[in-house]
Amino acid sequence: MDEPTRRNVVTRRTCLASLAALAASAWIPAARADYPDSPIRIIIAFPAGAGEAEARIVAKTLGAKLGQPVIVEAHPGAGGNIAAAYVAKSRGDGYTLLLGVSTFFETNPMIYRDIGYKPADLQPVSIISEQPFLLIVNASLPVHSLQELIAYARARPGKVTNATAGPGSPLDLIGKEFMVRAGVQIINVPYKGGGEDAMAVLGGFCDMLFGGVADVMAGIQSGKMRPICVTGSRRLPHFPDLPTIAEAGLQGYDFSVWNCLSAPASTPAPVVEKLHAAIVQTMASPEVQAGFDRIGFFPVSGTGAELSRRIATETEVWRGVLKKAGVAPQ
Amino acid sequence: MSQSLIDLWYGFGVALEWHNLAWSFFGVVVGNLIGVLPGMGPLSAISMLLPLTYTMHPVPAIMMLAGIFYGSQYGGAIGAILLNLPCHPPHAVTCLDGYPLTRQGKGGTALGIAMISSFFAASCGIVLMIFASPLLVSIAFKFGPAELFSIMLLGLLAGGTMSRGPVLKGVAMTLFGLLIGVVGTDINTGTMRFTFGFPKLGDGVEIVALALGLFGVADFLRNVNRLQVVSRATHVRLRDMRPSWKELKQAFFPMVRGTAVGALFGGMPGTGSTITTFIAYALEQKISRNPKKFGQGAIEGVAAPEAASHSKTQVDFIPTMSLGIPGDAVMALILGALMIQGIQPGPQLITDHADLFWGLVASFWVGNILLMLLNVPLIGIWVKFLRVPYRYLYPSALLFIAVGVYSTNNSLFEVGEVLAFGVIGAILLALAFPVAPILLGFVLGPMVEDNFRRALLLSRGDMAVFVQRPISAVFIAISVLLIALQVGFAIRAAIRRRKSKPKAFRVTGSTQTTSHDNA
Repeated sequence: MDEPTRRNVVTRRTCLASLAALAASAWIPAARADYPDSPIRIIIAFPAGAGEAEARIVAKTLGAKLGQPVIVEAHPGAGGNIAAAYVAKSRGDGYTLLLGVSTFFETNPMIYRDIGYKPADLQPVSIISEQPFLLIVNASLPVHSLQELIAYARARPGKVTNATAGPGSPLDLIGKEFMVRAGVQIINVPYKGGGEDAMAVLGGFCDMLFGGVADVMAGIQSGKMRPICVTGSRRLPHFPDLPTIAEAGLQGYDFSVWNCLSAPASTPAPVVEKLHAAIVQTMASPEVQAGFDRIGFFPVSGTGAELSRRIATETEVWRGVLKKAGVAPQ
Repeated sequence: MSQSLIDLWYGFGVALEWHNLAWSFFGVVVGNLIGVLPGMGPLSAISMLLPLTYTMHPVPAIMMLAGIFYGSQYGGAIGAILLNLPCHPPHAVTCLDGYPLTRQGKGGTALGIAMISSFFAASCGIVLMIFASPLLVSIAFKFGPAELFSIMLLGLLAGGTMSRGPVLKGVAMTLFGLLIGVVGTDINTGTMRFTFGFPKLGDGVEIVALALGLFGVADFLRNVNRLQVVSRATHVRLRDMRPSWKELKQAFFPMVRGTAVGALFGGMPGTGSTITTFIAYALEQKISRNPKKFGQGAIEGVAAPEAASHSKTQVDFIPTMSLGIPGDAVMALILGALMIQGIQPGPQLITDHADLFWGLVASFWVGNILLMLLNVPLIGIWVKFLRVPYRYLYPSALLFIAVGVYSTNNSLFEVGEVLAFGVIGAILLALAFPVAPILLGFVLGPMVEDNFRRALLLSRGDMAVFVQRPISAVFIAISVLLIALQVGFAIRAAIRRRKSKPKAFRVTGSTQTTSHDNA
């Protein structure tokens, strides 16, 4: 049976017409809503999994405040340089941010011969957290305070072992600085991070460790690890009885790692302002406070200018530490 | 012990609640699919689905994430067996015997064996988790750097000789793998080695890129225009998919041994699944009565690594849940998810959040059953996939490889790595070199070096530490034995050859014997 002839709808004319319409629509001035009108990405420098908890907690609330989803994207490698370079080279439209760790700005330029971008290409928007570390010893050691630890280490030069996450990492440098200031000789044993250093102390292979709260909490609760003091300038809410290193005897020793959100330097000022205001609100919100509390970070916020000044001062401190430790640029 | 059983019963009650079951199922299905897609591992999948868990109650959230993890182990075997494409590096070893089985038309059987081994091993792993967690954890602590070094050394020696063909080629490839493993940043001094100025290589070659390049892309490059995977219209009946009783019996003990290896390595954080499967395979080969059949379609070569991989996956959860120390990257992510939910993993997790812990354990078993139910009927469909003409099948596979590798670290450089290793692998295959030992050398090399130096650092430079510690001494002894045996065999073979050569006689006119004649 013959099919009734249908008029072919897809004629050349309709094709041309639709193409023209599409082309014309590109000319409609992008009636952009105020920033932000599309999802924002926070680039982190750790492989998916390891350092994401903090980023995700912030992303959740920041997204709510800005009204757009904030996604976390991982570009790991080269101690953070890959991620930082990626953001430094991306468009300054406020949709790509870097979760920067203090080491990226302060020590990486001195450790790596070529970090892959110009530091001036990144501008810090706001600091978001500070992470102090705990000085932990294996519970079988007869050491209950900082003074005892120093005495113990002085009595055994070259025999006490400190588990670290690799040369140039903040923990390693903190350990070296501790050695210099306390006048003790301890051996730094590098591990590949990701909890392996904590494992070593748990298993009794290493004597001490500078660890983040999240890594060591379980070990402390199981009784196999004993915290001696905090390396920052504030006591931790989880351990109100634990003195800071300065209080316990080593004056002027104040090391914590801080994290910030940075944007490409070409991001326009109004966008940065809006972002900054949202970040301040986010870091003050109760969900973020609670979330950070669990992972052992202090939420903070500040202006980009303050942070730039802090980077400059701290860089000088680290420069001194690196020189004394004898770490040369790679 | 009875308390554990009561808790387990309670856990089943939690796991079988509709809400939890549904999320478990979702996780398991997603995991299975992810497992089949090359390159994209459970890490990316969990990472992408993590935000879903924010609004969920922690119990179904963790069940879903865990489901993705072990579900992907099931899916990974499918590509390895049917297409010689290890979708995930641990399954590279399954390719060695799985793919030849497919070429013989027994792909369905191989898949069936893989599924059964996986289920068996996972169940054993779960039982271990329930009853032997403290034991496994304490064993893990006994393994310090010296012990790990000795085990890895043994693994290298065993693995270097495991491939068929001349032993020299196998060893050469292992060394090549070692060299590739050297690329990256040295952990002890921070120096960059062999990075040639590429910052991306500062963290070493990406294992996913290496595995996919050497196994998948290399094979494709070699077989372009040459080979139809499943030739003829092979009717894959349900009968072909179920392994015969004889095959099951063959596979039983390898399954058990593979499970043991996986459980042992699962307890040790820092050892990956890839090492575990290689060692299980090498072990099978070494103790088999007929080592030559490996690499040509031996059922044991599929059963053992699969069992090892699955039991390791289950046992991996133990250090994470009980100590808060993640065994590898996926565990770290799950740990992070737990912490975001407000749960602190550690010794008190079992008591504080009994419903979470026991519900999770029960859900492992429920999830594995679901996976079996899902996969067994699907075997037929997967095998039918092979009938898609090569010219559509492999380019699509390549596309998935590229996407999968990119999704791991958002890096185009790694996609380039896959291509580079694919070309290298193709050249090596054309010259009849086995490529599996490269992966082995790559994975074991850095571990051997790190642990060696760390052990020496801890013993202040005393080399005797490797034989002073009992466990390490045992493995060193086995390694020495292995080398001695190989040398012994070689000498014996050389002597036998000399004896069978015709004796040379001097040609003189006289028949008188002189001292020059062989008496």
